[in-house]
Amino acid sequence: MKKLLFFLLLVPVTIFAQNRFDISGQIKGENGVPIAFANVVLDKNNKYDVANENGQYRIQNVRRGSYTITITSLGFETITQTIEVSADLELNFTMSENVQALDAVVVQGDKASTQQEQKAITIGSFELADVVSQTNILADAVDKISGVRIRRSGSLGDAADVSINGLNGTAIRTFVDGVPIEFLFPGTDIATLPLTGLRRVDVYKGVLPVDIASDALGGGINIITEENTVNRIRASYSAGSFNTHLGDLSVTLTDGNESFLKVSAGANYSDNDYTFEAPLLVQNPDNGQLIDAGTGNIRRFHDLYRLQYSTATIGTYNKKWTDHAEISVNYFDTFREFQNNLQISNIAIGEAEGERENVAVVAKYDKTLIKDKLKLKTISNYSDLFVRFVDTTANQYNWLGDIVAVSEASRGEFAGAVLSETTTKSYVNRTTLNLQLPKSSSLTLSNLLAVQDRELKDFDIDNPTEFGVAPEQKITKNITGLQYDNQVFNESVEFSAALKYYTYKLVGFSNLNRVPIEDTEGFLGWNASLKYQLLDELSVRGSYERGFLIPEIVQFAGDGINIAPNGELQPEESDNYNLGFRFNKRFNNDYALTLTANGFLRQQRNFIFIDANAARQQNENIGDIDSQGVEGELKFNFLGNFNWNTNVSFVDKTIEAFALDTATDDLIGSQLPNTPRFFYNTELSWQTDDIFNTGIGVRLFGLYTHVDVFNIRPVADSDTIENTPDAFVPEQDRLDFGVALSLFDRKVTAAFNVVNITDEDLFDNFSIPRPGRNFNFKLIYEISNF
Amino acid sequence: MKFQIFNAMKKNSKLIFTLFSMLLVFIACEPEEVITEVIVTTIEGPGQTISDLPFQKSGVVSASILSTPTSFSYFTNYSEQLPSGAIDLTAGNSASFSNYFPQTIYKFLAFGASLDTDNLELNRYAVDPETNQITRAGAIPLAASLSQVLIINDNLGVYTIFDTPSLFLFNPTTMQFIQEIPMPNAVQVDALPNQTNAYFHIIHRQQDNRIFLPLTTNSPVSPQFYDAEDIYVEVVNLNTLAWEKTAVFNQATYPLTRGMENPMVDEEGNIYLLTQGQYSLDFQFGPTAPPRSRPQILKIPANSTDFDPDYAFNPVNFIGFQNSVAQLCTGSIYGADGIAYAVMTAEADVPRVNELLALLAMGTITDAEFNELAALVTNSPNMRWTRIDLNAQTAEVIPDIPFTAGFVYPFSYTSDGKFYFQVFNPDQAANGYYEYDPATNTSTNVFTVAAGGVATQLFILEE
Repeated sequence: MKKLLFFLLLVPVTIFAQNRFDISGQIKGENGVPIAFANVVLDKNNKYDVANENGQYRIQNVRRGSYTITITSLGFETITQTIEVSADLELNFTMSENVQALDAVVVQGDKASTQQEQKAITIGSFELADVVSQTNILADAVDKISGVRIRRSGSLGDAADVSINGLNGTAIRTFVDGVPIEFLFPGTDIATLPLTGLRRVDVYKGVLPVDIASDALGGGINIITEENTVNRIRASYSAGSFNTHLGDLSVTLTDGNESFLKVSAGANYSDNDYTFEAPLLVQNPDNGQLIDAGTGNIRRFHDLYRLQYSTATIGTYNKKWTDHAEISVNYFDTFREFQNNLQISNIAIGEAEGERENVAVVAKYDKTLIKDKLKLKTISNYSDLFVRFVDTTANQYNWLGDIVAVSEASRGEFAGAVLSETTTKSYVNRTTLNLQLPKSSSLTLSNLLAVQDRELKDFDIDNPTEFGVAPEQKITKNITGLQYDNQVFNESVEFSAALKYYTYKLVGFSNLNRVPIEDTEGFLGWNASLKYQLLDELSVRGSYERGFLIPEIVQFAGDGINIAPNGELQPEESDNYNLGFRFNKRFNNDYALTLTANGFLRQQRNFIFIDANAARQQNENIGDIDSQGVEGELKFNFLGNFNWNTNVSFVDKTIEAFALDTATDDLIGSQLPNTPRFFYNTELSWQTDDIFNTGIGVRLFGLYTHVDVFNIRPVADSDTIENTPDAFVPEQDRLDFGVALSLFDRKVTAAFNVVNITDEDLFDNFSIPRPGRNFNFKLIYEISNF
Repeated sequence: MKFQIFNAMKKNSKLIFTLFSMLLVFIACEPEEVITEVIVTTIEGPGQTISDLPFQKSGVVSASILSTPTSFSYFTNYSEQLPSGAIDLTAGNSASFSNYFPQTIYKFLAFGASLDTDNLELNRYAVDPETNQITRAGAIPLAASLSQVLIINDNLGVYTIFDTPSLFLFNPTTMQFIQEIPMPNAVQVDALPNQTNAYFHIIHRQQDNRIFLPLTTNSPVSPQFYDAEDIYVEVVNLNTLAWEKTAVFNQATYPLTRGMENPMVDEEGNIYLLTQGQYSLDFQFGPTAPPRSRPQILKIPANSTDFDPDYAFNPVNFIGFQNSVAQLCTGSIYGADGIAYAVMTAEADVPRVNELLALLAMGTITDAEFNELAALVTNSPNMRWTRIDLNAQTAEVIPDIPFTAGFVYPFSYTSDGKFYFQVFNPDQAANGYYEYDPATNTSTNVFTVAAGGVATQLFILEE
């Protein structure tokens, strides 16, 4: 049935007639150099755009009529012009320099991502359009942001562990349009979510505004999807090393009655058969005995990943009853082989595999009320996720893919034989009201309600028709936030304060006697942020948040098998402090500099931990951890074509309390192992929209990433990476290069990237090797306004 | 503002673009060498005796474990003499390992699971004379994780692997595999879903050259640690290299002593086997609990391969705690002349344990309360090292050794007629080893681990 749904969503639909138009063009200076980030504003209907790095802009979905268009950019004379819109228009503008204006620098005309980065709370942001030719994986783009460290294997389809300023794991939440991704698209994350239909990514480093907030401790990632207001066909295909193929097709059709239909589908596939140095275990053919044959460069053989997905969205906008309303149906189907455990041993995993199917319905509704003073925004989602995990083989494999032992009595490749099926039903709604108040102030009320039901069936592998059913487990979270924003003193001071009230209800059953267990809690968090524009080029900002992390359903209710429930588990808490500055100066049209630096302190309390030495394993509130550090970013734009971006992060994470039964006092104050401490990246890019007068746009980039050596477990004073290599993740240096061409009047983008060009050793968590040098080629075709 | 270098880059953009594109194509096409097959050839190694092995042959290795919320390490430190006072196992020539857990010690060698990797291996540990640090001094790859290993003599060792009914023979000097002795008729309990069977305790009786393998059976779906009501011991004759029989003792459970799994065989060939019971976590507790739920010492008499059905006693009862609702007895080791030692419950139940056990009895205990009970029973420093008279079937507490949490690391050793017992009691700042001299019946503190976590193993090297 679900497969059928996948194909049904691909069926073409009625073509709508066009009754709205686009205005597009390019803005240049008198010297012919494109002017980046100029503001282009129409006087009606709140229509505007910000030019990209090449000076190109596009205002979509403009109704027929007469308008005044205004072009502004720092250091240039403002252009104002009356236009008549009755068809698509291409308007190019040439701006004259205004030297006087340069002396009164006011930051304006920035991209949405740049505007985000100027807020009082610390945000790193980027537009998908800026990275889509460079990577297929969102996590790789997020990893370039200062203070952020993504740890994942090199395999397409593997999940990512996101660390933001020292906090990681579930302490960092990921959202799509403000809704937690684990409810919206269960089973996906920023490493596996397809890029189709995404517009921008904001990384909140500490404080989360109420319209994003969930129970995150130390920040979050919010992925903003694109709007569907013009006819558009977009297709992309990427092929790369390890038999990796990613393709998607998206069709958006609009009509004159402010309605649209969007259908998209895609598929990702990879063998993930990259090579690495592995221990070789072979069988002596004479006596069957296993022999250690040293190490060798092998190719991974059981790491296949396959994803197929489809989405259909129908919606309307600019109606009396709504500014924007849409409903979507999404279908994701994933198959995954597994190749290794948390660490590489001489035994490879050769048969364990899993599959996921998720069907979701998403509805969005936006409406502006009371003369544009009150904005209502609501999004709801229902999803049904089915996960099947099979690990029952009696075979044991070496890294050459050979079976080196068979033991019917000892089955399973991870930790004992497992044949399980889990069904998770999720419902989530976020509703936000934003009221504009006099004197540049506003009030925002936002509520997130999320419900998740889980049912686990664990089969007896010797008799798969018989199985144990763990009773239903359910979590209900509700987070209500009220936020006040204000700008005073001629807008030089920006202030925000918010209250958040968290409640949750967890329902499960004891492993022992299936007695129902239930926990309901409520608690109050708050945050505040302040930004002061000291000088025209310099602002300082500080923020604080008291955040909470509600236990995961498995942490609270157990897994029905090995991990016992703990109904007394308390939420993790954190106090987050941030202080930093932002310096931004444009010297003339050819040179601009932005420097951002932030210091942070995260005090994480009631850390949840499983004591492996306990008589029975369960999650407990067992420790306090402090994270402190600094992160900074330098952006330098020169000659109009060159961009140099550098990010540097230093994090120090220490154990402040640890209440394990077998803990000793000497642990307190020590460094928390397995935490990358110093890392940076620097990217130099060059781009032009017309190379050699061919009309072809080109972007070249080189990206260097460095992660300093760090220990993954406690070490002795005399331990070094040379004498105790298993205790450390070595220094990692990665260099990527790529070129992207914009062809056929920008309808086609072709990109070629080489990753890890110097073939250095790279690692994920616990030293699992990542791929050496590899490449990918990407072709994107897009037409719109047809 | 002028930046000449940037202007130069701009002028040469065509050249940059061309060279850059050529570089990308060249690099992408470079081939790579990959191993797809390994050819095995057997070569006879030179004859070697254990004294030829180039390792330290005297001294002491002290060890500890440090657990953090994200990972843990074992620390080891070699010294020529027994360390004394407060010691720092992270400083000096100390070294850390992801796993250091000797399961048996033979002369100046220790044997256990893989020292520094997740490999399925039997490893030999020894002290490198150049660095004075523990090193991986030989390995035998395994088809499953190591359950237990025991060395018979310089040229013969035996081991078992998880969930596999076989005994494996190897040469501890050359670390060469010798052969597998399958036990197809051995008892395999499979009453519960996904139940596993393993031999975590190996006994060798020198008098008739037989191996005795007590079975530990467990299913992940039940809270207790031993999912049967009887003890099964497989008997293997090393003279005939064949499995012989299964010895059964009814109404005893969990033949696993934790710690070093020291086999207890007296001078005549009587085998004594400590069975732990279920710590009262099988819903059976107090003096009325069936014997199988509480610790017992059993006996296989000399010249016999069957249990003595009339020999079974609970040593905890003999130190005055027969009414304790939960009894623990672990870490047994044989001394001489029918005297053995073990660490056992030696404190009255705290009121909270009784409260929780009452809930358990009524069937209303929650998982959280059950886990609290398990933690109180197993991790409280309420046990003491005890002298057990196996012939008289009595027990008495050894003086001058503090109470200890003897569930997790109940290590006991003997060397030169003296015994060394691990003690961990955070309330009394005890975290190290005590030496007991049976000749004088006195105990003294040897050392306390001041840094490096909880004291674990003591490895006394002997030639």
